[in-house]
Amino acid sequence: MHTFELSFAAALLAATPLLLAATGEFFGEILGMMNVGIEGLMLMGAVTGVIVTLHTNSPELGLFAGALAGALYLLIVYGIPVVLLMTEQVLPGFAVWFIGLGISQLLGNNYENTSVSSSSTIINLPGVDRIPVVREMIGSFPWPVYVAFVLPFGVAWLFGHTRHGRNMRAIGENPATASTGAGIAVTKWRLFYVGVNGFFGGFAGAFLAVVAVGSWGPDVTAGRGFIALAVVIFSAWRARWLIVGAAFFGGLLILVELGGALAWPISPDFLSMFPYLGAVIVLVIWSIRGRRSEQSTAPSSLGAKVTSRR
Amino acid sequence: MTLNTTAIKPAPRRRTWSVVKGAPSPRRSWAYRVVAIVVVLAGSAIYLVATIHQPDILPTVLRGSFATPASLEEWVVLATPFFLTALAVLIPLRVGLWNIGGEGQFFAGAWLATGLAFSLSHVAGGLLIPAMIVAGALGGALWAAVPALARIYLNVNEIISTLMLNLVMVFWVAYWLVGSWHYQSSTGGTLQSRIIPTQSELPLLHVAGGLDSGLLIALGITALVGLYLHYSTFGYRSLLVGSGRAVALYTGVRIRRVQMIAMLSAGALAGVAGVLQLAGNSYQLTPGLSNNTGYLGIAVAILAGDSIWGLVVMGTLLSMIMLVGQNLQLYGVSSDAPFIVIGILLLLNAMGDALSQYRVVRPRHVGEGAEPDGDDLLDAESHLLAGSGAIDVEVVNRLAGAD
Repeated sequence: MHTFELSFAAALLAATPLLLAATGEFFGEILGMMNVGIEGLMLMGAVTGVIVTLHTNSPELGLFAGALAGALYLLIVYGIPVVLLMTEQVLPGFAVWFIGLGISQLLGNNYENTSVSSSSTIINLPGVDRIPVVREMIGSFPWPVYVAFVLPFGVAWLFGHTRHGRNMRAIGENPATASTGAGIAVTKWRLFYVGVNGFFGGFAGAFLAVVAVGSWGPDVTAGRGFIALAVVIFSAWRARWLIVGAAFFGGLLILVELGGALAWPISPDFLSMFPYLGAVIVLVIWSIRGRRSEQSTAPSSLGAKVTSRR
Repeated sequence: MTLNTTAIKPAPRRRTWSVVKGAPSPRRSWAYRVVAIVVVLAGSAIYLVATIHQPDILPTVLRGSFATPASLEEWVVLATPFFLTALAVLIPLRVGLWNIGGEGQFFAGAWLATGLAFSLSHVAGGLLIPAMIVAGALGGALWAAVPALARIYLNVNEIISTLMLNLVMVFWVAYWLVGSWHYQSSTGGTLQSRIIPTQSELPLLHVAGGLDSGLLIALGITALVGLYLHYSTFGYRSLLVGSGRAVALYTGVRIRRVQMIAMLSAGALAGVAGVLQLAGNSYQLTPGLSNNTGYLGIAVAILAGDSIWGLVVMGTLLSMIMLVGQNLQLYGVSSDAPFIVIGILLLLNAMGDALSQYRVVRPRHVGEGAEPDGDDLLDAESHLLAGSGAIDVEVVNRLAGAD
């Protein structure tokens, strides 16, 4: 039986969009900006990715277009109100979700259930193909999977070991002090990282639709944007832990298929609940753990409205 | 020792038009809101005319949506659950909590009421219908209790937990619709339950149009809740809690208790909305029973801006947008298009709230009126209020009876 190897590979594939979207959101949250509408952002990336892939026959172009569309979309719908007009953050987050839901349906209406091929994105890890079990587990994936799992290490280095990263953390702790006290260009960098957030969120959606699912459908994300939000909380704002969180929820997401394939004596509806139920349980456990330690690891200004630019 | 008379400077004379930042003003924020609604509705009308090449589309759709008594009744039926699901967002918002779980609480209520109707199918309607409404309230409240407890005692982000429980509820309902409540329709159609017993259906007010008495119940509850929030001590306490931890602690309000009551009553109201939709309208449990009103209630509550009158107006307006959207599906407009309109409304509303703290001041010339006039005093007042962190400007406005 290859059940273990195959489900491991399936879980990694399911974890990838979560990890990409969560990494994007991580950038924003480090600078104190919480976007609750990742779901809508991923939908925008997904629909753009599928349309561009269908017209150009190039999944790479599709993924890139999806990411760019995500960046542009988030900058307009979230960046302008939150960063430039200094509104509070939850409402623009909902707007990102609602508008993304509507526009993606409008755009994708004619492309529903048209399958796209993305076999050209698959690469084989050199050297791994001779090791029997590992080969099936991690040997052959579309390249974004490897990118997604390496990315958090880069993010951890950026925010932990560079001057720029420390400055960005300062913005997340206290934007006013970072601006007046340290002379950091708060508005500029906040806008920049809203774009980065949108880029990876759109990329995540495009990957999900173009590569993982292989077609566009309005319910393609099925709450994954919200799970990505839970992944960031799971990580307790430590970039490398994003990988653990995404892998955990990726594992929960494939339980339905696994249960069906192995004929588990449990309703598939219950198995489908697990990722969402798991997110709530994880949040509760993390809160209990967080209460023991005195200090929260979250950026201090996370979700807070900026009251003045200077 | 001389008194420092320069502590409060009079506002400087302005030579040009200028923008002054002060306290956020509810009146200006409402003005922006009205402008936003007009702009968005006009924009969507222009978009429709421009993209759908059919010259009489607007009059046709508007006539189809509002000109006949039957379509008006359809509008009203569509609006019924909006009032309650919006209240389910508005009340927690007063105490500073986001209840995004209206959709799940709606189904929790509908699910429990369906189960009750099936198991008590021999009981008379006069007993069964009130029992179902109570069961719906109970189901919704229980479903809201989980994120409420987690938020209030463990500080778990309630936005994410309520949302996740919506998705859990989707599969929970699907489990029952596939399983013991399954009904195989002759067309072999979608997931649905058996029809609930006839005596558990809400009486119709107007048989031909399908107008059910759920509307009266919903409006009655909305009025009661509005009065309660306005006149009860709970309503006052909820304002104190919502205006910040410091204010609540200072006034001695039991924060956790108020927040818990707010979340539970929100869940109960959304649950009742589920029962009204079930017993008044569809007579069977389906995955599409809510018509997304659980989510759209968020938009209604936000646009209402903590006012019950605003809630009724905005609930009617948003159900109008949904109705027009439904009728536009005949012209190939996607069913989620109203979400764009509502999303843009939310966005403009947030921007309007942010802009409402600025006001444009007209130029005045040196020598024109030596005494400080009303504008100067207003300036000084808002500078003082905005400058001191101790007083929450919004609370001052609200408590000053500006609602």
